[in-house]
Amino acid sequence: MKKHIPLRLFFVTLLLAGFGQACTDLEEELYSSIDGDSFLSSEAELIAALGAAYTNLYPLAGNGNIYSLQEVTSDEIVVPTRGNDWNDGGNWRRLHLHTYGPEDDRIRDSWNFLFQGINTCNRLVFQFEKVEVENKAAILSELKALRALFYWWALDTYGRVPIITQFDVPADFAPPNNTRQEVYDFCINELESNIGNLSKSNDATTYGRMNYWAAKMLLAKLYLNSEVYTGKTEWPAARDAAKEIYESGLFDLEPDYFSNFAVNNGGSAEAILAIPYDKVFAPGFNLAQMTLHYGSQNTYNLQEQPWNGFCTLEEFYNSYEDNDARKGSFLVGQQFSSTGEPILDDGAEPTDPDGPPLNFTPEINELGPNALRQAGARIGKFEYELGGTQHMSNDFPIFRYADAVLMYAEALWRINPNDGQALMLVNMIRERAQVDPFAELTAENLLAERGRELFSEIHRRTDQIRFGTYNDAWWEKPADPSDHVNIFPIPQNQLDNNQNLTQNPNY
Amino acid sequence: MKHLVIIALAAAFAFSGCKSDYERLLDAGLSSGVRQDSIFLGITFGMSRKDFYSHCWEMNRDSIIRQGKDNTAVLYVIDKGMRDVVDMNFYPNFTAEGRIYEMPVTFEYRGWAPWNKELQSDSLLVEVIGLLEQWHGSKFLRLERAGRGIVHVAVDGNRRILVHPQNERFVRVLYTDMTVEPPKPAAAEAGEK
Repeated sequence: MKKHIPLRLFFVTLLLAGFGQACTDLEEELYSSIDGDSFLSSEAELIAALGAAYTNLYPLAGNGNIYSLQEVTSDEIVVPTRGNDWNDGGNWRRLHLHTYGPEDDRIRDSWNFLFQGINTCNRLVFQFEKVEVENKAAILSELKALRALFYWWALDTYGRVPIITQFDVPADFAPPNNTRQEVYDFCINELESNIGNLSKSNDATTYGRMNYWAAKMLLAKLYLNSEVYTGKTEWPAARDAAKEIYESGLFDLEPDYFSNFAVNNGGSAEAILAIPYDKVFAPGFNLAQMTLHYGSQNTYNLQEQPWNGFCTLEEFYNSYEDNDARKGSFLVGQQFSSTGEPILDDGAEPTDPDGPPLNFTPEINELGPNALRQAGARIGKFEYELGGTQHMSNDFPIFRYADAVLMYAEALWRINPNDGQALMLVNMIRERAQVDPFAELTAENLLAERGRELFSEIHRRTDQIRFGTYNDAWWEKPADPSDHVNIFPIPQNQLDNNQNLTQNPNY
Repeated sequence: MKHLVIIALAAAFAFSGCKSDYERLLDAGLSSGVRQDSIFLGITFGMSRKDFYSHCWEMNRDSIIRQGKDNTAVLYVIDKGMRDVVDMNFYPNFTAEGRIYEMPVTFEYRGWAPWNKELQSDSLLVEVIGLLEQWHGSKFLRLERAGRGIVHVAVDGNRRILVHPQNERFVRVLYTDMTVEPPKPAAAEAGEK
């Protein structure tokens, strides 16, 4: 698949700016993004500086923040504790059990990830507003739309977060929480008032950037989840936003589902907004390390031994029909080396009924502390590069066209449960997956279809909350005693350092 | 045309900023004949990959360190002597022979937020330099580079330490053994998807 050269140029140039001090050997890691706004005097320079805002997205799909927060709390991904591996003070089990608290690492790190992104946008807006260059308005709008993306994640996860749009805040500035309604209104207003300045192009110049379509998709997400965020539904607005993407003619379903997740997926017809990861220039996507077994190193000739962590729940795995092409999103059964030899796991527990042959079983014996090393179907949706490093080069889809299609269908269905077009749209997705069409749409089969299509793309927790299943019981997790867990606690470090911040209810 | 402008801009950055003070400092360090291989926490330049892992395993067992950011770093928590708890994430770079020649480190205050002005990287920078001076007895030279901000440099024999604020949140530190030729970056090969 063709990779967008100008995009590569954009990011490589950023790196050159940081790594290129050849004459002094002061070459590495010395680019400080907070220095030297005086050089911003042309559109190209602004675009180059803009990259600092996008590099903040790189940690998204690692295991340290939003990916883990959104996925491991859902019914599609779990990180069992396998002896001493993945104990981490019980962090992973608490995410699964919905017993997380304000001291948890992922709670803290996700907050910092989001506000780092917001802060960089604020700084660049502050810097860019001082210079006069061509197309400044478009670049400022792009930054504000990107800031709205970070704020949407904050709205979705923590709910009552402070809205801060100023970079040069006074020393004693200590913002209180805004209400969830206020954060929602802020995101909507920012997007609606800036989307007109964003490029409607969907090509190499806008790939990986907040263009009109990415902003439109974000609006659709906000409107679709409006009832969760504000108590008021916005189904028609969600329908209209998703419909505009669907009817744009700029996107299409890839004939092969898995081409969306290949190493060279940069030209996917479904990419509305992607993080253009690169194992050298844009690192942070560590899924191979996160999910694969130690012995899988020999399957892919990986340069580092994987960590044997993330896998799917048996019930979720079984939600796919056997002939569903998307069932290839999982690695199960005997694993083989790159030369075709069965891999043996010398450290297999005596209690493992499969013994040393490395055999991924959908069944997981327990959440922890003694989950078997080989237990759990592994995430195989993204292609693992032969000889890969800890960092993958597959681009990660933040927003994908198939999601827009399903959102359009859902909005139509919410308005009219017998809407024929809604059914047609969902069946279009199912046809690509080579499974029989639905005869009707229900909340249950719509949520399940979204799960199968969008597995491991950071949507499941949001979807489960919208469909009202997040507080249900599932494997090794009792039903939540209260829905206060539908938003995460404000991190304790933040409360300790800002007396005006208050904790979310019941934490 | 736009691409040429971007490349020209990057090239201008790449070949600007020669600092004679820095070069003199480096020359003095290298010509002194002093070897200074200590990094921190018992980790040294020249340590093999295996020895590094064994050493970290022992420190992890003793609760001195734990798994760091995204599992791709080692975390050392500094919970005393700083104005807030500081996370120090590190992971060395190895030569082709598997020996440590470089150690990038990232420091951050746990309580960082855009509005916590006392917990920004400019405050952290001062505390990190103080910490490194305390650890190593090094004296840092402040270099100002046109358009690219400030970097603090200390050279002790073969060991160079660079410190700079990466952004409002992070302070980056880089330890380098200046007597080791770094392996050629795999960038050219890896950059082509």
